[in-house]
Amino acid sequence: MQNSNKFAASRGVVLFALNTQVDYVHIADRASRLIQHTLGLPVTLITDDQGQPRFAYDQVIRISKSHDKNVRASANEQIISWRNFDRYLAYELSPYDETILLDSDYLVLDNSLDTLFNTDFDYRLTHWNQTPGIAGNEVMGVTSLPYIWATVVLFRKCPRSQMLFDMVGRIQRNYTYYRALFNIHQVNYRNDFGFTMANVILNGYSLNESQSIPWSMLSLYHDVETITTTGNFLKINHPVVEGHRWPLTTVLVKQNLHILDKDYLQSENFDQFVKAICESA
Amino acid sequence: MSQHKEQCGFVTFAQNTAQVDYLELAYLQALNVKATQRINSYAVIVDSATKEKIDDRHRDTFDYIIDLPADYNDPASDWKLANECQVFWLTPFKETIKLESDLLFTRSIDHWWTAFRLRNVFLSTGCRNYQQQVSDVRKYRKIFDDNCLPDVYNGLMYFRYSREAMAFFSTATEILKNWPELRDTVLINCREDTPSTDVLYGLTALVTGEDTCTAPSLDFVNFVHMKPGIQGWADGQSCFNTVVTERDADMIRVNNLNQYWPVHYHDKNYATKELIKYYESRRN
Repeated sequence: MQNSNKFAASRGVVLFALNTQVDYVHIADRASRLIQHTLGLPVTLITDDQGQPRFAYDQVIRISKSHDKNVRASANEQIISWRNFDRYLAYELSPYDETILLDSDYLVLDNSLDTLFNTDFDYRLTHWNQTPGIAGNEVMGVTSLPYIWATVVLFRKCPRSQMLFDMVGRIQRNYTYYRALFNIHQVNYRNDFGFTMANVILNGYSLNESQSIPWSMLSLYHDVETITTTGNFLKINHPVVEGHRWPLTTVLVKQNLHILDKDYLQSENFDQFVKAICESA
Repeated sequence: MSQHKEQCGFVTFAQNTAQVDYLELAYLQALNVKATQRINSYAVIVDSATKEKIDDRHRDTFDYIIDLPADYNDPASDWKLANECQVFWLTPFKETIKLESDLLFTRSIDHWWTAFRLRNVFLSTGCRNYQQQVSDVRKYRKIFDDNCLPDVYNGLMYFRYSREAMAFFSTATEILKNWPELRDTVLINCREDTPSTDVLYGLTALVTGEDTCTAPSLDFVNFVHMKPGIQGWADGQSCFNTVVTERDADMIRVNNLNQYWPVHYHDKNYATKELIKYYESRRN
């Protein structure tokens, strides 16, 4: 296992942003401002030829445009599409010895991820996720295993991490087989599932929770109207949607947040929230 | 002559029913014990009808074939649990691990014997799901909760020749004899005509002192219970029809997870001829 004492290891954050009808590059630009403000780490963007980033990235790495994409319905029944078929390349493409690989819809609002660099690991994955008001064990299918979230992945450049990413690529290329093997319900390829299966296989067919990020990720499945910050608290206002039962407001201690509402992340309201955070001390 | 022929070994009962060939399950288990354990003497206790089914394969594999002297089971019932308490007086070992016949090991538990010796009778507490987590499912354990019985499982237990063990099995025999009265006047929400061995030994543990026959803090003494409800799946759904099961030498893999604890497979259809052949080949 790689330890944290490696001399002068380079550290940074890698984001993937491949636009569909959602401007993921624009979302990544804003998320990167938060990362830089909160962690002070360089950010590398991996995008395709058409991505037009406006943030001053450490590096912008262009990959060829894949035409494969996944689709799902959002909470308000809009069709969301995304292109997630290149995630396994992160190991190869990351310019850093120690990398935090993030989804662009993950908002870094505290330094908890930075503290993990002081621990020993080859890679760390997000085994636990929670969301306000929704309980339940998240599994890949009714009779499948609980899944890991690929939203946040920490890895050091080392053979075991390389094996993990290689395995994810192999699973992705043979997804029909692995989907049947693991009793996965969804037809769409999900990196969450790819990383889960790779982690199980790589760790001698066990869940390997001891190498996880040792806390739950906080995800907001609800649509978001505005987020404001007061002192050490976040106040999240949700739109009223007929038939949905979530509260109109969620109040949280300021912490990293995974926001699934892409409309909000592309909105002026999100821009203002990022400005407010970055202009605060 | 002493009933005890060896110091340590495994014992199971095999009483065939119309539906289940328990002798074959015991044969599979004996092969499995021989393949996985260094301490691997194996005895099977059979009734007269089951004994007639014994062939050369069995004779070559079982170290001891022991006649059941008195069969207290209801001949009409498929549940053959009434004889379990006799094991103390029938085992050929001074120290016995008593197994239910539908349980297989995936690795050596030789080191468990040391832990077992902390008690004269050692009942395993709780069970695990196939994800190797200690199960918190209580749907099959209502009678235990209603009556504050220790959460014991008889799939795997240990006892040694001792006064305390004799007292335990004598008490269990007395409880069994007086079952209808105990059920109707002492136990809460109990409607079992015949107690399951788990309930019987849970009640016996309560009477004789659960501290003397359980050690819940030694939570590695445990097994994976493949009842579907324990996995969070619907009853009637066989685990082995639901998910992929594989074998990797002695390891059993269920739904892509290695089973490091003994597997109480529960669904008797898991013990196929092909599986028996597999373990026969492991012996050779």
